[in-house]
Amino acid sequence: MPMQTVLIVDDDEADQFICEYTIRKFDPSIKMIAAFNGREALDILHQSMPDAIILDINMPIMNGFEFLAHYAVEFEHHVPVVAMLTSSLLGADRERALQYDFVKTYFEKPLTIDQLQIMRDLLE
Amino acid sequence: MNRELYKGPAAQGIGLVCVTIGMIVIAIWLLRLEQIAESFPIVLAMQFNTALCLVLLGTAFIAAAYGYTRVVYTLTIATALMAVVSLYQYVSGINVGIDTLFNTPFVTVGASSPGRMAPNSAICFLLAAIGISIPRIHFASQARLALGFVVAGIAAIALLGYGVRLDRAHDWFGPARMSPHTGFGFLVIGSGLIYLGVERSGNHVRLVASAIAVVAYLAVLLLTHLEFLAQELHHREQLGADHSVETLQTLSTLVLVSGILYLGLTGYAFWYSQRYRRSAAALAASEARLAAVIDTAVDGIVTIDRNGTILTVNRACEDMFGYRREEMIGENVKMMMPKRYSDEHDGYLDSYHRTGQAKIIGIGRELEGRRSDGSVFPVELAVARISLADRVIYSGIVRDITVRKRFEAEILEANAELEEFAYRTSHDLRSPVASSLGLVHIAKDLLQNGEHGVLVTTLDRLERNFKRLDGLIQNIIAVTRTRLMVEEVAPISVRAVVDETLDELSHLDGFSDMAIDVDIDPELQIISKPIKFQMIIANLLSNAIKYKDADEPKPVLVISASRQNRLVHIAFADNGLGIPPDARPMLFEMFKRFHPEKAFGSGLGLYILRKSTEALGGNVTFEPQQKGSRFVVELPDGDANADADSIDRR
Repeated sequence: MPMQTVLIVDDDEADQFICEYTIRKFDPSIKMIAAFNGREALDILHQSMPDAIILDINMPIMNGFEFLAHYAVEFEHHVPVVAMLTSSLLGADRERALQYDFVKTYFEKPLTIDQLQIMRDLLE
Repeated sequence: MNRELYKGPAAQGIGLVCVTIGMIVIAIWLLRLEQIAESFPIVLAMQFNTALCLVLLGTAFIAAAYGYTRVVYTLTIATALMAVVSLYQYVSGINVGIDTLFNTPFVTVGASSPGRMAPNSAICFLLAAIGISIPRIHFASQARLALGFVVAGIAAIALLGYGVRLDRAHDWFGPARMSPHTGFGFLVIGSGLIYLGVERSGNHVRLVASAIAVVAYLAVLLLTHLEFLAQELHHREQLGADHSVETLQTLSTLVLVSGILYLGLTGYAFWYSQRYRRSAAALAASEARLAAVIDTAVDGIVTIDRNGTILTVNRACEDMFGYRREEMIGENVKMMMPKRYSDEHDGYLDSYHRTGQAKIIGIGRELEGRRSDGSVFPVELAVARISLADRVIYSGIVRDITVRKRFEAEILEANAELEEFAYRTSHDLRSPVASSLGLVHIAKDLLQNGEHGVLVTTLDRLERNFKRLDGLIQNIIAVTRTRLMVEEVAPISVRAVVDETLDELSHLDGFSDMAIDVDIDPELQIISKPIKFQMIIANLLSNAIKYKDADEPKPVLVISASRQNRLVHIAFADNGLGIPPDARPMLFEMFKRFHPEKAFGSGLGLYILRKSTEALGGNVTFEPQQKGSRFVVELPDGDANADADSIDRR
């Protein structure tokens, strides 16, 4: 499945900017949708279906884990999710994210072109 | 002689009996009552000297009871002298004239020479006089005991002699005899000496009685044996050696052997009883020591029987549970437990007796105790099973662990908080660093491509990121300060602190748009820790400014303060963004942010606020408004010394 539309869920404006810039540089044809927390992301997902989700874990209002829990029960079809961890040293966070089968992998921040390549390979 | 020893009614009673007997007989001698000599000649078998000595000894006993030491010595020496002189007359056969020195007898009954004291009486007087006057040291006590036995024994033999018509018992040489009333007097004196010899230990009366019985029995046996021997001699002279003589011989030997055996057994019984008394005394002393140890123990010590009935409790139990000892003993131990344990307790005991499976015995456990006022407190209980000869009891050592439990809870809480803090800081510190790395990477890329316009905004983002990091680190420092800072209390004007802080914060974005109404009495003072107090005020003020509603045409903040019941309430009411209802339960926890899109916060502000108020012995609460928030800080006013403690408490 080609990666045409990506939903970026991150509360941090700087991180959003980094994702946007890196993805545009990686493949300018990819469409990006921004959500600033889990709640917003769920609202967006009810209306449109992206090809992949890049998900920050630590967010106010609804964090990444809460989003995953809702996404798992509220939706029948799940698009692949990539978790963005602040630090991959925190093993518990990693395990907790990977227990959902639609979470394909996790990356440590900040997002890089290499990580995007891995992501595209996983999807296709 | 010892003053203490003779104290009490016993010595006086003995003395009185002797004096009475002696005086009556002396009166008869002096009044020369001849009709008594004719009707009851035996009364005058007590010679004048004998009666006199009896009076002297009786008086000595009474004097001893009152502590007149010199009188006692004088009287006993006089008695002993008369006895010795009388005995000397028997031994030497010389009459030195003492028999008729004080009174010339008008009749002679039971005397070898007119007025002469019987030898057995003289011996008794001598021994009794020594017995009364020897000092009370350890071996003397034994000597007094022995003298008492001999005197009482001689007297008992004489009296038994009258009883069984065995003249040899009271007549030792020829007609000289100890009269029955003299015998009675010596029995009393001898018993008194034995009584004083064994000291006061509770079972004297029985001991004295049995001792006299033994001595008398032995004496009668001896006399019977002698009588048999005399009979045997008589038969042999008349009939020569034959069968009946042999029988007499066998009988008399049997009597003697049985007497010796009896003596041995009784001696052993006496020695054993003395030893028992000593070990009983040692046991009592060791018991008293143990009781003192148990009673002064810091831990509560309680024993129960197999039904749970309380047998003993120590003083610590009384203090710990608020009952008096007599209120607890005899009750079921369930009274010391809260209901949820007491309901189970019978079951525990039953199942232990049935299955031997211990829930607590020999293990020790933490559970709860119940005081007399119904309050419940944590205890550590160690129970041991004690198998006594006839039954099983259980001992419990109870320790009040209220303080330990509180510390434990505090440590656990602090630990959990530190863990959370470490987790959150590692994340929140790493987050801006990761972003910055990404931004630097992009900036390099932009610089290479000459896209200077985007480069500037990227660098702005980088700067914001570092400011964010700086702010976070500042806040972490503030948390650490709240935890560790040691600060003295001082009087603080609430109004002044609010005004100063408003001044400091006037540079904040949106400060000038806000209508701030300070409604605080300038006189209102609180005695507290100034830096922490200022931190609380600054925290609430900056929150109100940062989280004002941008869409609100007229942002308002009302600050008011009042004193109620030794508490100062400071309220901050605004018409800002407020707190979403689902976020309220975790409002004061670490790293919670509720308005990320409106203002950047570390998520530590309200946590620091809560910790600072708690450090001052107060609390902070949030009250939702129709629009906006109202935070109320409640602090002890610290105006009395009594409150100083609660302020210092963390």
